[in-house]
Amino acid sequence: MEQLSGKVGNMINLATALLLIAAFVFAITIASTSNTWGDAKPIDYTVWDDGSKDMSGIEHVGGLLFTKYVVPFEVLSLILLAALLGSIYMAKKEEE
Amino acid sequence: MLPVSYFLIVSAIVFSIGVYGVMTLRSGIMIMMCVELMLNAANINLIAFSSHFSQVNGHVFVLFSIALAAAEAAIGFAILMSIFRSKQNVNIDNINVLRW
Repeated sequence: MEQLSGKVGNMINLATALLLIAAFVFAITIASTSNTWGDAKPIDYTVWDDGSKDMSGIEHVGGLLFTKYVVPFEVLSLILLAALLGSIYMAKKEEE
Repeated sequence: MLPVSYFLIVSAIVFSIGVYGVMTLRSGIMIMMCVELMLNAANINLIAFSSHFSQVNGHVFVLFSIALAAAEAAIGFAILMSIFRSKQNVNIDNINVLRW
């Protein structure tokens, strides 16, 4: 495949990329604004002991993390351990 | 409450920046930063829909996604360090061998 070099090639590449990005963002805009995505409900917030309202729902996240998604959570710990061991093994100084 | 489409548009723009960087940049570190941009665009989508439908499943998914991104970054930087030791740079165009 022939490769365009120099300023003209770079300009053509940049124009193509900008065109593709514009088409992608335009498609997302059209598709998402023409859809109402169902009825929006107010988020189920948590009321703490001092009466403050927590809109983030962090308590629900923690509860879900240790009940419904407890198996993926434990598997994730193994993945992080494997990544730690692998990265240390690859990055350590080699013995000569 | 902002409509979901705003979040989707921002996410599309961030994802496009990530794809453009991965396709054009040559430094390995910059490519890994752009991969993180693409992952975070997906996270924005998950959080937007999760908040819109008043559920927290998406939040949990995003926690998993962030943890996997951290693991990916650790492995990637270890590989880049290994490449830098043998090649003295992290230019991805020069890495065209699978063994030596």
